[in-house]
Amino acid sequence: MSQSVTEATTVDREALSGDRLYRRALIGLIALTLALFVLSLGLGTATLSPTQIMGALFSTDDTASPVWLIVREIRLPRSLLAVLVGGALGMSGAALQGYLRNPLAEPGIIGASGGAALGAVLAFYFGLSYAIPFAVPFAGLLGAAAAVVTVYLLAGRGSAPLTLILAGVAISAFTAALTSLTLSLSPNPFAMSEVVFWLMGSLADRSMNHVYLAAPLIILGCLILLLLGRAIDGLSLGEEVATNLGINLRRTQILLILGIAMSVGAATAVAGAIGFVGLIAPHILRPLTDGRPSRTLALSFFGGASLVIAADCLIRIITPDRELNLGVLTALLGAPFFLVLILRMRGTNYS
Amino acid sequence: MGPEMNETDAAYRGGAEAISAAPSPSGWIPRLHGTLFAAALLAGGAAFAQPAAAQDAPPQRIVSLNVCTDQLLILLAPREHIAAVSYLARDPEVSMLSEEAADIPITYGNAEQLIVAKPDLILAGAYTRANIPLLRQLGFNVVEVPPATTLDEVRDNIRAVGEAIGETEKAEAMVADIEAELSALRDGDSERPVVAPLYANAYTSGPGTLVDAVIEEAGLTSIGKELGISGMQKLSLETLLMKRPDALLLPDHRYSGDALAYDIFRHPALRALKDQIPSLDWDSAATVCGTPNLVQVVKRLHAFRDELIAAKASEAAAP
Repeated sequence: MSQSVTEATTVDREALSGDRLYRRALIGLIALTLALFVLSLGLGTATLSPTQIMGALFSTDDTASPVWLIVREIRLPRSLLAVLVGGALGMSGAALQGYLRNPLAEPGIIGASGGAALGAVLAFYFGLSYAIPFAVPFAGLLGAAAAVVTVYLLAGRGSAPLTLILAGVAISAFTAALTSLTLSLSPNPFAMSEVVFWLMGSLADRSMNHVYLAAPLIILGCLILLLLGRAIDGLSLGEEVATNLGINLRRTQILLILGIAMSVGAATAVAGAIGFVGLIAPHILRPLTDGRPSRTLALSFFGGASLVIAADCLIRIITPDRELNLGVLTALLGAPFFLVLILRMRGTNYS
Repeated sequence: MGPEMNETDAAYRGGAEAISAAPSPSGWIPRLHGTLFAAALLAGGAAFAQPAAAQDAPPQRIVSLNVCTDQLLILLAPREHIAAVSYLARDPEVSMLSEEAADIPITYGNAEQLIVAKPDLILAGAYTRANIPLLRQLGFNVVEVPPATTLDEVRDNIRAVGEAIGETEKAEAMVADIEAELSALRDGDSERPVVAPLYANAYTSGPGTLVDAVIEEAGLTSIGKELGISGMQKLSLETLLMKRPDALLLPDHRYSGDALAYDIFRHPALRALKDQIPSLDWDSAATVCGTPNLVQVVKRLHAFRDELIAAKASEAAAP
């Protein structure tokens, strides 16, 4: 920095470099997501060449060809869902952390995923998926909304992280117990072993049907969360400042719950409850936002998407025959991260 | 006794699943030495149990603890000699004689029930919840019948049950009937179409299972044999599509209530394959146990094989 530069231009330049950093990070993450998406299309028990995969990807419907079926009906939905589910969780985590001004807020920890799983399980095992087309993702939405509202009422905004965690743990444990109870009461003996799917999540054997069911709600939910950018930035300066900036707190609150419920509810309804994604993604990406919480939203979408799609690729590489659950890998990555976070927070007084 | 009961309950559920969903023997939980405590507690109760039946008199109060021995018992023993069968005997998903079992008392196989029932013979299988060493210690006469995985073992089991219950002649006649019906079907089997049996959760059964033995006997080859899969294993949808068998064998009925396990049957990729190759809806419960009913399954599969070969020939003849 030359000494002749005035203070004003320094600020401008810093703001500019912040913008540039954010833009570069966003483009980088989109590229990473795309690269992992392509890698994901190449992984599976059948050995297909890149030309075969690309050919099937861009050809017209050809259900007589096994390659077309594998690429378009097995691998494409799996990869699309990884992006959508990871994106939903990442962005929800960023929105919750920004709005609640609490670094530990995350759909899994505050019980939104657990509530969504319970809703989806109730709808699915009572046979509603046959009766009403969108019953399962919609029930997931309701479950997630109920969990978020309950935790919100218990802990409130700006409360100590501990209060939020306690409320979340209670809701998570309660919904997990009810999920297990529902499954063990099912007349179908397979239901009991499916507890693992609902509590740990998986993308194995998902189909385009699941994409059609979840994608509209996830995309709509994420768009609603993106609308909250200005409000989250305002709230980072405190509630009074935010109100003075013309931010309608009530509207923000409703949109947040709606956005979380739609995205997390639909994601959980098709992939089960996947933990830690919404916690890790915003934390890793925060240094790239130049102190503006609203920027974590878009970044965390692609960060979460990269994380889930990478985990899903790893699963197919480590155990191709007997697929691990996604939650196993995200928890393996997430738990140490969480510990570091707690160690760092020990020095901070939140009261 | 309380904790012991819970433990056997859990073990039983594992066992029941191994029979009905039959994924692998991993559902079988080895008995823990902790049960020796129960054995010690119950040692005094041994006096309640009848001593082993004398060689000459056939058993009069027979209890079966396994869905396969249940069915052989119902077929071979006079009704008045059957004291109880396992509760699975009434489950149409795994038992072919669920209607016949409807008026026979059922047991969940715990030691308390058995001490009250005072059977003079207990028939048990590999996936039985009951603690067999404990039952023997209590003085019960227990005959274990391992699950049949080949048609030879089916014959052995029929003979073993016949001998245990004193119905040797009836058992021999049953074995002879099975042999006669099966040998009438054998025709050199030059051409062997490949079939893929597919169950919930995308499991298939390869060599080493009774299903595979039945498929072989019907002049067909299982996709598991082609792929080198042994036992019950998960078949990846991708592998199935690439391998493209000559036909699919799909279960013709399901448990009530939905399950993710059935997602495989709804998968668009499987539906597309089903539109392209023939498929047979079959009663997979008929192949859970080695009973004379297997002959009907072999006959049905053999007829299906003939259809497959005929369809192939006419397809080849067409320009």
